[in-house]
Formats: sequence, C-alpha cells, structure tokens
Amino acid sequence: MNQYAPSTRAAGPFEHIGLFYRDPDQYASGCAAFVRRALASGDPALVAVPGGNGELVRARLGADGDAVTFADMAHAGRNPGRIIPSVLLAFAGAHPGRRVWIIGEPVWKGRSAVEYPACVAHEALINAAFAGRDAAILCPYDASALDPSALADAERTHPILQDADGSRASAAYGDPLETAAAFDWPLPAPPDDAERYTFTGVGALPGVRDFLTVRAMAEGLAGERVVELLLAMNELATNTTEYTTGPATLTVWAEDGVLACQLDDTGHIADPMTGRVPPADGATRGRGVLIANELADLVRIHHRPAGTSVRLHFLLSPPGDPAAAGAGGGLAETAVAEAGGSLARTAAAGAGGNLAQTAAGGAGGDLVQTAAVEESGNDPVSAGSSGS
Amino acid sequence: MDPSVVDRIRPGDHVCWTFDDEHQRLAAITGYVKAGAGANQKIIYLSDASPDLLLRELTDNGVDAWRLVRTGQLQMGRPRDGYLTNGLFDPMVVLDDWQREIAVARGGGYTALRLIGDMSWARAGVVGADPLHWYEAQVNRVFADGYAMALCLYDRRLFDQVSLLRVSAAHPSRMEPGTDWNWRPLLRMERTGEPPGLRLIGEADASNRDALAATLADVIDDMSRPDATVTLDVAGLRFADAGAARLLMGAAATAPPEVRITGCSVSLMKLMRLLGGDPCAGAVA
Repeated sequence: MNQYAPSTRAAGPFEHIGLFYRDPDQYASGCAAFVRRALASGDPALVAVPGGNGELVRARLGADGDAVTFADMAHAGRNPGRIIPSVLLAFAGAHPGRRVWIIGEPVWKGRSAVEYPACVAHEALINAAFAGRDAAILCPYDASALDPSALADAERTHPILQDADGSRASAAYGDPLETAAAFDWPLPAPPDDAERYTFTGVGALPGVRDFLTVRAMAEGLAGERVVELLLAMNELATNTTEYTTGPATLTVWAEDGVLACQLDDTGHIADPMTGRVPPADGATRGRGVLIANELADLVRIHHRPAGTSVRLHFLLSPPGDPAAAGAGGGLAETAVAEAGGSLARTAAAGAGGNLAQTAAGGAGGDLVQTAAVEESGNDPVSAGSSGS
Repeated sequence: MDPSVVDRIRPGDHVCWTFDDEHQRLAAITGYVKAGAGANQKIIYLSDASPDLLLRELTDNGVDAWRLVRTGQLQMGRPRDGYLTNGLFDPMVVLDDWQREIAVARGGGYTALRLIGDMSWARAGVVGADPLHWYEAQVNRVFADGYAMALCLYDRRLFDQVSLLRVSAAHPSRMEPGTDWNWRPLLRMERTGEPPGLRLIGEADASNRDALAATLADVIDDMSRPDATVTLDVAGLRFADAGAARLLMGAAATAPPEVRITGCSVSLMKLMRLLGGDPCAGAVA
C-alpha cells in the first residue's frame, strides 16, 4: 500500500485529492499542508470552503495566509454547477501559465437531496475540466458528519484520497463522464398543484417572462433576484425555442425555502460539460446554462429519453442568512458571523465570474466529446409533466 | 384579439402581424386605420388585393374609407407601386421610397405616416426569404425617426413557419391572433438628436434580435465620423437577454464612432460582465 507522497506520485500535472477529515485539527493540518506546498513553489492558492472553515485554515497558516485567496464556498459554490467555471477555472484563468492550488469543499452536511447529485457530478467533471492542466485541487470531506455513501461517492470522483494516515490511489475512481452520468438522477416530481405554462416558439418568450415574474413574486422572490430568474430562465427558454420544435413546459413552485422553476423540453444536451466550460464560439445553448449556473442557487439538468429537464432553485431568503442558506458545514460555527464579511469580499475578488476569462484560459478541445447518457427505468418527471 | 391593442401601436413602431384568416386580418386593419384617421395621420395601404375590395371592407366595418381616399389621407397601393420596380424587389429602392413618402406626408401636415404592408405578395417563390428578411431588418431605420409606423401583415397560410420566425425577428414587435389585452409593442427604438444616438424602450430578446442588430448597425454606420459620439440610451430597456447584451457590447466596441451606453440597469451590467464584457468601457449607469 502506498504511503503518502502526493507531490511525487501524481501521474500528470493535475492532482485531484479527496481529503477525509474527522475533526477541526485534521481539517486545518490537511488543508494547511496543501497550501504550504503551493506557497513553497511560489504558486497561487485559493481556499474556497463553506462558512467558517476558511478561518480554521487561515489560523493554521498564520502569516502565510496573507498570500492566499479565500472564498466562501457556501456562497460562491452554493450552486455546484458554477464552481468549475466561476471559482476553479476563473482562478486558473486569472493566473495564466501558473500552477494553481485550490481547496474546494463543495459537499457539506445540509446539502439537500436535490442538490447532492449535482455536487457529485461536479466533483466528477472537475477531472474532465482540468485534465492536462497544471493544477492541484484538494476537496475536504467531513468524515465525521457526512453519510458514509457520500464518502463512497467521493472515492469515485477523486483519483487520490488522503486522510490522517496518509494518501493512496482511489480504487473506486472511475471515468469522470460516466460517473457524472450515473448521478443524472431523475428529479422529484413537481407538486401536482404547481403552476404550469406551456409555450412554443421565440414569440412566446415575453409571455414566459410575464408568467415567471408573476409566479416568482407571488412566491416571495423579490428585487434583483426576480430579474436574475428572468435572465436565467429566458436564456434556457430561448435555447428551447431555437433548438426544439415541440412545445415546452415551465413549472414554478415554492418548496423548502426555495423558488423552484423547471423547464421540460424535447431537446437533448449532448455535451456533458455544458454550463461548466464555455462552449465553442457561436454556440449559444451552452452559454445559456453557464448564465443559469452563475445566477441560480442550483441548476440540475436531467436527461430524459424524450427530452431534457432543467430545474433551477432561487433561495427565497437572503443568501447571507446562514440558517436559511443551509450554509452550515462549518466546524467553527461561531466563526461564521465574525468572519463572514471578509470572506464575502475575498469571494468577490477571487471568483470574478468572468466567463470569457475562463474561456481564454482554455479548457481544451478534448472536452467536447459527448457522452451518451442513457436513461434507465422510471422517470417521474416525464411522467409527471406529460399530462400537463 | 382585443381590438384595442392595435391602438397601442404608435409612430416609431414596426409590428409583425401574423394571422390565419380574413376575419383576423380585417379586425387589425380596421382598428389601425381608424386610429390613424382620427389622429390626422397619413395612411398608406399596400396590398395585392383590389383597392375597391379593400375600401369596401373598411367601409363595411365603419371606416369612412372613400372620404379618406378623396382627401388624400388614405392612399391605396399595389406592390408594384411600393415594393417592386419593374417587377423586381429591390430593398434599397423601397427604403428610399419610404423616406420620400415620409417627406410627402410631413409636407402635407400629417402628424405621422401610418403604413400597412400586406406582405402576401412576398410569399415564397416571388421573393426569396433572405432579401425579405434583410428588407424587414433594414426598414427599421425608417421608423427609428419616430414619424412613421408600420403594421406588416403576414398570412400564415402563405408563409412557412421557419420563414415567418425569421422575418418576425426582424421586427421589434409582433402580434398574433392570440395576443391578449395587455399586449404592448415589445421594443421601441427611437433615434435621438441630443445627444445623437438611439433610445431603446421595452424588451430585447430573441424574438426581435435582428431588428435590434440592424438598427444598431444603421445608427453607427450613419455616424461613423472620427469625432462622433453615439449614445445608446438603454434606461428604458426593461429586459435585455444575452444576445441583446452582446449586440450592445459589440456596438460599444466599434470605433469610430465612440459609442456610449447610458442607463444600464444593474442586471444588464451583471449580464455584460458574465459575457466577458467590461461595462465600464462605454457603459455607464
């Protein structure tokens, strides 16, 4: 069995490590050791972790922490779908020609059942997005709090695993596109009484926006968030009208503190990296999902045999409210309040969210290969929406 | 369709009206002509159909059409008078003709020029889809001055769905028989004198993208002097999608002239940033 020597065992320039920690001390030492490898080489480092976890790392690093960029993953990575474009590739794009070192913690206790498959798909697709790139990404997993199945899933998405005893190659690691496809779980059916709007053609877009505005405001979404919902859904609906001929259905409802909005159409999204890396010039469909990823608090894409369902979540409470946002996951929960402000500021600086920059960073042509995503068994969504 | 929605078409508007039968066509035309007659506007009605027949239709629906013709306020025409030169469709000639008709209407003391273009003559086989689309996009420049307005009639029995979608995107606004009472022109594009440029009011999305693209290009083309500054006032733009944001950023990137975008909403700035633009270059709140 291999003992830990991660700096020499990496097969390629890209390392993707799952760190299983059991307490704050293991967390801080595992993360700090990773950051110090970056600093020792003079490389840029980003710590994107939820809530107060960043303070644990900062405290352990001491003065070394000044050279590190911090971001609150509960905010920047609230939607797992935007972590690759807006956090990881954005940081890499901001440091062209440099090896980047990133701690990214996308999975924490409190991620909902609807969010979770998107987290695993994200972890799998990191491997595809960064294949061949000069980067190291460490993903901490709270082994004391997370379900054992979540740790098993992390073994499927991380080629290297690390814990207090050292590091090893993951025997469960598999092809990233296949793993991501395996987590394309059917979406729970919208409630029967959710309001639906069926539309066809580009001329229906103003009506789509009117419907969304009325429904979103009735459910309590307010201000700029309504506009963001319109921007995101309008791009997706535009793709629908441009790439499909059949009618599409929009369903809007509120549940568990979020406004949920689902678009069911007859189109197919062939590229599994859609919405995570900027598409080739001229393609608009991928850009629509990128925009949705940036603006929504969750984007789930489910491939049905007869089409695609895209579900968006928009938090109904202020995103800064840790209770409502489910942004727990913090070992140092008391640190959340005091550290909040500064983390948010560094998030804004670090994760610029400039999609063009990440495009310039280049994600390689090898990403456009498509994976055939086969549907297996029951599909409650298509069954649920077929009657509408 | 609620007849009153036709009354919301104002000088500067260019509306694509797709319909399925004669009843729908007539419902829109009647309201549109009545509104123009009452507002001392010159009306030009171009159609393949016999003028006598059209005037009888209008009269039967309560329009004093013969009197309007006698006074010169209503002018009936055939495509050969308005669209075809020696039987050929030359969009450039048509655009010039509209400018001349505008001058004539202004000279006659009318408050606006109200056009009806029954586009049945331009069905497949007569005019290619490309020149028709090009014409409908370019003709927006005629309306951006805010004096003329047009209702373009497209009979869905004569045009295939794909062609209609394309030609419709060249119009800032569209109406359909299913249009409900709260319809409003989706986008208004007004040329401004001081500061010189273009004012956008309403919503810009995929359904009117080609109209916006052509009008932006036209404004910039008109003012491509080294020292000129074009101001794009988007304060009245309630909604802009990514395609519209890209068009605005593309316009701002041209030089000369220098293009300033004023009145950007928070969400439009955010969208431009997401698309890789720098709203600080050219765009100001």
